[in-house]
Amino acid sequence: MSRTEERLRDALHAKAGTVRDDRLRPLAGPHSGRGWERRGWERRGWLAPLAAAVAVTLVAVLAIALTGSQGSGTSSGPVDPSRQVGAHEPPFFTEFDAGQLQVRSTATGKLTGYAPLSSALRKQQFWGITAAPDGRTFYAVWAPWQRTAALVRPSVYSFQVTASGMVTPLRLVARGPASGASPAGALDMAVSPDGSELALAAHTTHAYWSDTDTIIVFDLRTGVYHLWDGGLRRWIGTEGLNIWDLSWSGPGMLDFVTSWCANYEWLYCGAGTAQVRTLDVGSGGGSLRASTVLVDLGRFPDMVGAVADQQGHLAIMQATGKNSRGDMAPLVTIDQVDAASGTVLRVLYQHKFPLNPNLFGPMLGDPSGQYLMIWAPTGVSGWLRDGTLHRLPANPPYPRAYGFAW
Amino acid sequence: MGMGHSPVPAAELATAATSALFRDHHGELVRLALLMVGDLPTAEDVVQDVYASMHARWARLAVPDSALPYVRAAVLNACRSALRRRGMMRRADMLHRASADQRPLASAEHEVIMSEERRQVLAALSRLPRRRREVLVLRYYLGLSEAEIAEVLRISPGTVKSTAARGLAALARDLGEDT
Repeated sequence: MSRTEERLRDALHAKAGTVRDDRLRPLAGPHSGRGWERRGWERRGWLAPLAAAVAVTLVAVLAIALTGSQGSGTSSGPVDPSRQVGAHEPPFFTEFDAGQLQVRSTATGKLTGYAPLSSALRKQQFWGITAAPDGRTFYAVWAPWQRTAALVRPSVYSFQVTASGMVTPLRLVARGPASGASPAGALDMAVSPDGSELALAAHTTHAYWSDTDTIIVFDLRTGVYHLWDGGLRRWIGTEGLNIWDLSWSGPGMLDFVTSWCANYEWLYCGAGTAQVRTLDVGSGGGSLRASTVLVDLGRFPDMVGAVADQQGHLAIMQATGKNSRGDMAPLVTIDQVDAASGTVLRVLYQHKFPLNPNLFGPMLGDPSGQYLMIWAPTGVSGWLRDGTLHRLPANPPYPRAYGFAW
Repeated sequence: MGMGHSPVPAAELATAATSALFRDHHGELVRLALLMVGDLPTAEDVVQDVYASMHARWARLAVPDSALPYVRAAVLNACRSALRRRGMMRRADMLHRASADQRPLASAEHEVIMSEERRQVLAALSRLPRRRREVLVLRYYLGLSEAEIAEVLRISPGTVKSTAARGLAALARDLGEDT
């Protein structure tokens, strides 16, 4: 990079860095009550009846489409939670909205409570959250906003939902790397089966591309961390390594689903390049090259999500299909796959949605990997059981996938 | 498995899809607009207007596959409109003046961040033709590839490459640097 390019990049990022996300005016939408009518509809008032007519027409069309798309066998659209959450499904889930970390009941969607954030934490970037195996303890990560690919130090906090339903205050558990890597966000996190370690797949920034090429493992008792950084990067277009899912397959053994992105894609990338790799994290850090391939997932080119459980299975979510107009109307299929051979064992769920497949994902697993949740920014987020997607009842659309955990 | 299902109304889909996209990328879009129009209030207005406009049209757009590039393109279009409205397209020191206009409201932190050297670079950038400026911002701020920039600006990758090269060369000359 020439000096001109360096100076330009520095100046642009410095200028952009003067914008503080927490001080931006909230976007005014139709449900926000923050002046949408004044800024939008009133100024272009003739659009309102037109849009209303379009909306009514589309409601009818989509209702027909949904009814018509109802398949047989395992196919089922999202249902309202008329059935109780089973004894084994996680009792709570979290979402991060409007700067609040909210805990809600899986069964009713009702707000159980907030994990109160300090003013200092509100100014930091929320990276993600995950649940511990007890289903009541959660670990969340924040880091200071960075203006460049500089060094940052993510902090791990924990909170619990008590037996009486109270949400405890956040407690600082560990701080991550201040040097060596330059992570800029987490894409997946997982607590070990014994609850003693937290693994985090971190997103690293570079000048022109990004990789999720770092795994940090925190000892939740001592706060000590180990770093696995790089070693699997490949230069393919503008994107690089992506780690979709972290899961613990046993003491000190971490499995991760990874792929390499060929070009800019909105949510998913690396079709046909996915692998499940396993890493012995008891060795104290190093390169991701130390991991070994468990199974190649190239036979799932339309994979949009993967979750590993602790019984040697993978749940692989694929979205395929186009309608007659050429718009995407994806057939969403979740297969249970043998993690050793890649063989499809059974279909866990299948349904055709009138949505762009890019709007689906991620698929989340509970700490055991057995209970699955699908996130979509379209009001169809829900949990899966017996081939049925049970729509989460509260507060759709859930705005941020990385605020979800259960 | 034989359970009923709840059809998702189109309006809800439109609302949800648009809201999620904008919430996730609100900061990035405002920053992009800021680098084009120069001041934060206008940048926020631009993004808000695009949000409002796109929200109404989202269902008719059938949720484009490349939603984010589409939104970026819409923000850039809105920036051009804002600049035209303000008669600022021919103001050679647009970004510099905008920064200066913002100074009374800016924090001490802002002052430290925006050193004189950086102001010079942004002023030189503002003196470039619009397309060169857009290409350089998309390349060196958002880090987009030539193909991605071509998609946003609806020009060929070859044009992106030549425009970026010419823009950089002009910037280097303006800053008194050898290329």
